[in-house]
Amino acid sequence: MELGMVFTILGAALATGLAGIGSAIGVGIAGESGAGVLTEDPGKFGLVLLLQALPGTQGIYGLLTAFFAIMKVGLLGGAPASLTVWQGLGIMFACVPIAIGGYLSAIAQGKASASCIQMIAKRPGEIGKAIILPAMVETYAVLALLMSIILLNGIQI
Amino acid sequence: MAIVELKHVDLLLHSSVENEVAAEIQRLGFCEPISLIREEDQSSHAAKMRFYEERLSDARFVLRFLEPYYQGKEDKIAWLLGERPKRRWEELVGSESQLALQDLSQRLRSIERRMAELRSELSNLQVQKTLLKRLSGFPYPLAIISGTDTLSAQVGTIAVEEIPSLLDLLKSSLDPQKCEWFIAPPQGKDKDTLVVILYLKELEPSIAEISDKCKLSSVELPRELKGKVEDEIRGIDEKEEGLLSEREGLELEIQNAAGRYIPAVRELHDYYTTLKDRHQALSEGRHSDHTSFLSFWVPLPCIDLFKQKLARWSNTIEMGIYDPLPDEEPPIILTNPRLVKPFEPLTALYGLPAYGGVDPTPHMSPYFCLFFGFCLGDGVYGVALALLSAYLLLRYDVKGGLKRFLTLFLLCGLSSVAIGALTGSWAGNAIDAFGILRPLKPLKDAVMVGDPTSDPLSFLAVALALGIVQILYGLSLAFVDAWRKGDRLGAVGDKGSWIVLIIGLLLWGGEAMGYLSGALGNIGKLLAIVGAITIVTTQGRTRKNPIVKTLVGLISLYNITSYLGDTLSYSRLLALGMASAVVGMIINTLSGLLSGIPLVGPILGVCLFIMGHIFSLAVNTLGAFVHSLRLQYVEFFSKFYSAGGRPFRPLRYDMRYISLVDEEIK
Repeated sequence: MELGMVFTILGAALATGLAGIGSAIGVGIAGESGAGVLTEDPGKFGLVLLLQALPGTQGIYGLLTAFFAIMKVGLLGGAPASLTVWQGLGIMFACVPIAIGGYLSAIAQGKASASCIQMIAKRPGEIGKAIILPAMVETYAVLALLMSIILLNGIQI
Repeated sequence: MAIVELKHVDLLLHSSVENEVAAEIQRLGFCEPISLIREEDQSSHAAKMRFYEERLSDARFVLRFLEPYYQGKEDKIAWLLGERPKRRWEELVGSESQLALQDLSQRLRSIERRMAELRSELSNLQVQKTLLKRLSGFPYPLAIISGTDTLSAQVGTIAVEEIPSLLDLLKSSLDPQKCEWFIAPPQGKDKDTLVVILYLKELEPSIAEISDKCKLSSVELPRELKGKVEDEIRGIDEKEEGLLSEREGLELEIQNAAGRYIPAVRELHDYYTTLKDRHQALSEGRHSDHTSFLSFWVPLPCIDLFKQKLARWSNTIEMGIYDPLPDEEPPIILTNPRLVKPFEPLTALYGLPAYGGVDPTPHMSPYFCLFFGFCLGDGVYGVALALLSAYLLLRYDVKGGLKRFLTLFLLCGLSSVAIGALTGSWAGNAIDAFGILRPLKPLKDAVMVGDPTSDPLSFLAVALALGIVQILYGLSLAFVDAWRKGDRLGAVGDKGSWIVLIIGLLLWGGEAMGYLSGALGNIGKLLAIVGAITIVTTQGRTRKNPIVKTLVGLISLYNITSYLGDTLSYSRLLALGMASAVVGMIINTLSGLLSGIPLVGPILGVCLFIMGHIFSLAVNTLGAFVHSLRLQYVEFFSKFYSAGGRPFRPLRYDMRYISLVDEEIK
C-alpha cells in the first residue's frame, strides 16, 4: 500500500472517528440531562428524545465525508487508484474540517441541548425555541461539512 | 385533515338524574368535562370520588402484590398487544358484591409486613450462627462472657499474624491460675479470628494493655446467647426451621390468593376506576340542593348522537350548545384520512396544534414515509418490517395507539421496499455477493435506477433536492396560513420573499453550473433580486427609524445561511441510506467467508447472515425513524408550525384489564 493511500485512510478515519466521538459525547451529555427530566415527568420522553438526537448530526456528517473520501480513491469498490503522497495528504487535510469542526461543535451542541432539555422541563410549550438554540450551533458543523465536500471534490485523482 | 371543531355544551339537570346522565355520557365516551369549580365549593361528589380512590388504591396494592405470583392462562403476546377478556357491566357490579376487597387488602398488607419481619429475623439468625460457628470448641456456656462477680471476659477479633505475639504476652505476663483464653482456629483464608479471654477482675489493666498491644478489636456477643455453643447453634437451627416453614406457608397462601382473586380484583380495578372518573367529572360541575350544572366539550360530528342519547331525560335537562368563546382554549382532536392517521402520534409527540391552527400531519406524512424509505432503503428489510407489522395487526386484536404505530411501520416498510428496489438493495448486495442468488440479478437490475455506493453524488443531489422541496413547501404553508389570517404583508415579506429568493438562487446557480439554459438563469437572477429587495424592505417594518429599518432588512438576508444549513441537513438521508447498504454488504462478505469453512461452514454462514441482518434491520430502523422524524420537527415544522394545544381527554370507560361489552349501562 502506498503512503498516499495511507493518508487517505487516515483522513477518512479521522473524519468518522473524531466527528463520531464528538456526537457521542454531545448526545451523552444531553441524555444525562434528559434522564433527570424524565424522573420528574416521563411524559416528556418525545421532546427529550428529539433534543437529545440533535447533536448526533456531526457523526453522520463525518461518516458521509469518509464515504466520499474512500469512494473517491476507489477503496470501496475494490479498485484502489494509485495516489501520490501529496494527493493522499490533500485528501487527509480535506477531511480535517469536519473531523475537528464536527468534534468540537457536537460537544458544544450537546451542552446547548442539555440546557434546552432543562428548559422544556418547565416550559414544554417552548419546544420550538428549544430546538432552535442547539440548531444555531449546527450551522458551523454544516459549514465544515460543506468545505470538506468541496475540497474533496476539488482534488484531482 | 384538520382539527375537529368542538362545541361547548352546558347541561342544567335535576340532581336525581345526574348519575344516570353521567353514566350515559361516560358510555358515549366523547365528552370532555370542563372544570367549573371554585375553591369554596363543597361537593358530595368529591367525597364519593375519594371513596372510590381508596378502593382503587386497595385494588392496585393487591394487584401489585399478587401479580408476580400469578400464572395467567392468557396468551402473553395477545395481552401485550391489548387483547383483554370481555365482560358486561352487570358482571362487574356482581364482582364487587362477591369480593370483600378491603378485608383481602388488609390481610395481604399484614402478610407483606410479616414477610419483611421474617426476612430480617432470618438474616439476624444467620449472622448469629456465623458468629457461633466461629466459636465452636469454646468449652463454657456463653453466659459466662457477661461476667460474674469475680470474672470478666474480653471477646474480640485479632489478626491471624498477631496470634503468636498474643500467646506470648498472655503466657508471659499473666498468672495461668487467674485467667484462661480461647483462640478460635482460623479457617482457610480468614484474615482474623475470634479470641475469648476469661480473667479475674483484678487482671483488668493487664488485659487492656495486652489487647492494645495486639490490636484486639472488641466484639459484642448478643445477650440472649447463654448456653454452650453447640446448644445455641441447635437452638438457632430450630428457630430458623420454624421461620422458614412459616414463610413457606405464607407464600403458599399468596400463591393461592393470586390464583383465586386476581381476575376478580382486575375487574374491580376497572370498575372503581370508572366510578371514580364519573364522580370526578360530576364534581367538576356546580351543584345546588336540587340541580347540577355541568359543562362539556363535545365534537361537532357527535352532537346529534349526544342529543339523541340524552333525549330520554329531556324533561329534566336543559341543554345549551354554543361555539367556544374567544378566551376559551378547547382541547384538540385530530382527524385525518386513513392513510394519514398512523402519523398522528408523531405530531402528538411534538405537540398538538392550538385550536384553530393548522394540523401538520397530512403535510408531514408523505415526507416522513419517503425519508424513512430512503434511510432504510432496502427491499428485504422493508418486506420484513411490513410483514411483521401486518402479521401482528391481523393476528391479534390490536387497538388504539399501538395499532397506529404498527400501521405506520407497515407503510414505512413498503416505502423502504420501493426505494430498495430502485437502488437495487436487497439485504445489502446479497444478490451480487452470493452465487445462488445470481439468477435474480436481471430482475434486480430491471427495476434499479442507480446505486448510491457507486454514484453518491447523484443521490446526494436527490436528497438535497427533496430537502429544498420540503423547505419550500413549509414556507408555502406558512405563507398561506398568514395570508388567510389577514397578515398579507407578513405573508409576502416573511415567507413569500424567501420562496422567491431561494428559487431564484437555485435557477441562477443551475445556469452557472451549466445545467440550465441562459434564459432560465436570467429569470433566476431577476427572481433573486426581487426576493432580496422584498426582504430588505419588509423585515424592518416594525422599526421607526428609516436607517434602522434598512439595516435590519439587510441583516435579515443573513438568514440565507440557516436555509443552507437546513438543506445540508438532508444529506443525512444519503448517509443513512449508504450506512445500511454498507452494513449489509459487510454482513454478506462475512457470511460468505464463513461459508468457506469445510463441513460446518454453510450452516454457520447462514446463521450469521440471518442474525447479522436482523441486527442491521433493528439498528437501521431506529436510525431511520429518529432522523426522519428529526428532519420533520427541526427543518419542516419550524417553518410553519407552532404547537400549543392540549389533547382531548373525554370522560369514558378507561379499562386496563378488561374489555367492556357495550350494552345499556346503569
